[in-house]
Amino acid sequence: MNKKDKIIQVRKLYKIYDMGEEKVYALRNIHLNVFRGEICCIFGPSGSGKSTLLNQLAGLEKPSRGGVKICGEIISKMDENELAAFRQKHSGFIFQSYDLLQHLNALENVALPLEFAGVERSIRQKRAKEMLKRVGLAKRLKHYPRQMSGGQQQRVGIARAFVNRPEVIFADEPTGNLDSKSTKEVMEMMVDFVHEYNQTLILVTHDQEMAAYADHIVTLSDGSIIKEEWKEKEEIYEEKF
Amino acid sequence: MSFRDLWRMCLNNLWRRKSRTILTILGVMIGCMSIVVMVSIGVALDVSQKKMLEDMGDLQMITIYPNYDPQSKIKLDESMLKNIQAIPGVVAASGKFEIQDYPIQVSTGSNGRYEALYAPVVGIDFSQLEGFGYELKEGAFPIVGAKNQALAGERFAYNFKDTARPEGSNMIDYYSALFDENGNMNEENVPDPYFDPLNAKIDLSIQVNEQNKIKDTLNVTGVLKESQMIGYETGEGLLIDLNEIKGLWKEANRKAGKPSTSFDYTGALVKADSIENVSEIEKQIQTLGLQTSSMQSIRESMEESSRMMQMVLGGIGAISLLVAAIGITNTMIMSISERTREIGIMKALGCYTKNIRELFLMEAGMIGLIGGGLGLILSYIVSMVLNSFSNMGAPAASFWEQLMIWLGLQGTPLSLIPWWLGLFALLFSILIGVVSGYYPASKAVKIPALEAIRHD
Repeated sequence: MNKKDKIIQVRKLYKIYDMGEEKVYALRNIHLNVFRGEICCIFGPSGSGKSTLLNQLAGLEKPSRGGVKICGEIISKMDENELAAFRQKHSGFIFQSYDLLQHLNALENVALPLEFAGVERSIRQKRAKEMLKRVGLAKRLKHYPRQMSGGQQQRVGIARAFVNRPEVIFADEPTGNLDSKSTKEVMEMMVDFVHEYNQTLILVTHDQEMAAYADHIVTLSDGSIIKEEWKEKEEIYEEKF
Repeated sequence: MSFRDLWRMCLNNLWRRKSRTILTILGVMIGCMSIVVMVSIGVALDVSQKKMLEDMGDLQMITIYPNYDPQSKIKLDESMLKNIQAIPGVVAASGKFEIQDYPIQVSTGSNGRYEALYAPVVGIDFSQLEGFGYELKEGAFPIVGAKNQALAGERFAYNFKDTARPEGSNMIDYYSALFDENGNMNEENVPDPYFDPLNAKIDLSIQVNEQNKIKDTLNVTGVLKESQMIGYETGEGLLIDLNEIKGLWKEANRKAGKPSTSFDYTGALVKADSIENVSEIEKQIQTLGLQTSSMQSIRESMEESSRMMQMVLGGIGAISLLVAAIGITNTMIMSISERTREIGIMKALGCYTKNIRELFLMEAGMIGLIGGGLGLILSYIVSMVLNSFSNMGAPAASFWEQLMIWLGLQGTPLSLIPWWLGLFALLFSILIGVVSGYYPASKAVKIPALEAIRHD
């Protein structure tokens, strides 16, 4: 066993879109290991395939070839039901445009993943309330998304992603719609949570500044990894596939 | 997700699209109402037809007329009656006899004060009265075997004129008294006849020829209820025992100098063991060369037309419900395109596709249930209004009776909603909801999480 266990393993991953006559390679031969407790930043210009990679990692899309293994389970082979169960147990999502359900208040939005997992109402409300306190929205439990600022909405989004204490959190441009002050708040909050519970964060961004928060930076271009670097190299084992 | 959570989410989703939900429910409501009201009209029609047939007479009875063709060799005599009795399914057959060769004068009162203008005297086997469904209005059936007893038809006494009164005002006009100025029948308006037929002594005088008369006096033991099925004699005639009238007829023949005339019945009644066998028995009697009538042909044609009517009415209602079903599907499809993104988020957050399907089916089913329930309530209101119109001339004695009339359980209903129709409408509405929600739900389930989230 390595010093850190590999929570995500990607092997020979291809994603090919069939656009009539020509084939578009969105991802080409991706090999990637992400370790537990890492903040992994997938970096690249738009069109580089970083969002596609995130979708593959999160099981939102099926790869054309290759496989993705998370927490010991090969999610690229799962059906819809297994994926749903997997998400309930192991993963959280943070979206660029927050994607809160507009007709639910902050508390209900945060409790939603627990509701899907069949957690009893009183327990999930208690946990959602705690989570909203942690993100500094204790006074806005009953507020609806449209009554909150972007920064506040994204904090609700963070609370929702972390409420079931997932092992992996996927964040797709989480600060893309935020100003610099909110960006800082949101990023620090995510980093704090991840460190506190030894969770793994996969962060997709095109913003160079985000890289400052990352332990592991993967740079994509044209669907291939062109650079992979670690902040604290001594902690990570170099590995040959 | 637990059922309670799904349920809460379902109501929440319906509620946040209030106006559309309400409009869709309204569609189902009208569809459900139209099918229930249409069918209820058919049911009421059926019920009132059955009642009418029952009032008209015993459905197991067949009336036989003799062959009126004088050239015909087919006679309704004793041996023919035996043949009829031998037909399978025939419970009883009894001949009727009316003296047709000689005029009969019927009178009553002291010195024959009251004279009948029209009074058919019919002989019937008194031992079989009850078996053939003769019913008494008052009095008692004659004792079998006793002489000089008779039964009067229901309106027998109204055909008498009072010879002590001046011409023109010496009779009671039963029918013009029966109907009031609004055209409604009310027997209470009819004055009593000049004499009480019950226990009256009725004098018969048979005019054999210019010199000879045969006289007989009869005691009326009972008054019959009129039955068109059994025969006109239950209305206006006088019934005496078959043997007695046979005796009178033979005596008349002897006095007229033709004692060897053969005895033929002037009609007969046959009773079948069940309604289903009536038409077969009737056919067999007809092959013997006799003419028959029964409620069967009337019943069959009535049932046929009633069935047709119900199908047409139900069809009209079904079309409305179909339109409502399309409305539900449309609403759910619209709801899905609005909620595509939401469905994607739900999937990304770990919602089972099974739950998403259930949610959509539940929403559609709820629209059906609420629409059906309200439609049923509306149907009852419409049905009550219809019944209050059709019973306008018959005021109810109590609130309870009024309610029964409104519900179509009493009086002359125009619309009747039996419990099975209500239950069926409710279940059918839910089914329509779920079925129309099925396609949208499958569509929702198939939305890929990713595209949904990208969707705007």
